[in-house]
Amino acid sequence: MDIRRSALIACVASVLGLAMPLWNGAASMAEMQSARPQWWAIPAAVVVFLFTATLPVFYFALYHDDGGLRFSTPLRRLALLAALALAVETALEL
Amino acid sequence: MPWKISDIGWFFGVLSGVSAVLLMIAVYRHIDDQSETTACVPKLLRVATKAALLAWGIFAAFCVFRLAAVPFTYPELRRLALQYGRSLPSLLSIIAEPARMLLSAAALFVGPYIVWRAIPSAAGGISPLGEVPDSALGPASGRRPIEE
Repeated sequence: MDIRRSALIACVASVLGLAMPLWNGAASMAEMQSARPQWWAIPAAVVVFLFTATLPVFYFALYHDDGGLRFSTPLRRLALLAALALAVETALEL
Repeated sequence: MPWKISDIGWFFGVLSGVSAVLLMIAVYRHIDDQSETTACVPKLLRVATKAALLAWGIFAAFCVFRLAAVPFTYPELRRLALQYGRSLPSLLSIIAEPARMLLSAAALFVGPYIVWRAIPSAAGGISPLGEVPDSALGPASGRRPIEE
């Protein structure tokens, strides 16, 4: 599987994967705001949303790229290491 | 047994993790078949990579801090547990959660980091400021190439 196709899959999956935690977070924030309003709650929620959105946008940008990137061998090994770490983390979640 | 909303959220979370693993494997298996000429990287990718690098770098640093703070917060947790008559979870389980979060954050940080390192910035490619040098543009660009 090439990088573009897997980046598109990762983009869609990360949007789907982040939608529910974000929704739950927003609901909790709204509940907290109605019980005890805090001035920093809404800016904090916006910052968290923007931070979270960076990854799907990054994956989309990677999909949009027409293959101009060249990865050195150490970077490719690092990618393999990250894949192993993510696989372990995902397996722990199962 | 029908799925609940939380099960669907969990499923999409796992799917997201698997897709990130696939992407990292695709990067690992990527074989460079390009010539020596440096291709232009779109501005969207440049900006999105920097933003993701910053955001996930901060998050990964926070996770490191959180894990490093466990030995200092553990005595306080123990004191509170004794005060309220609750059983204290083991030190291992207190360490495991931040360690797992750090592993996840670090692994997700690697993607933008690798792409950031792979974006060309040497002469002839893209300048460090993210602009395409005049010499790389054709005559139709309207910009006069720098004379050497």
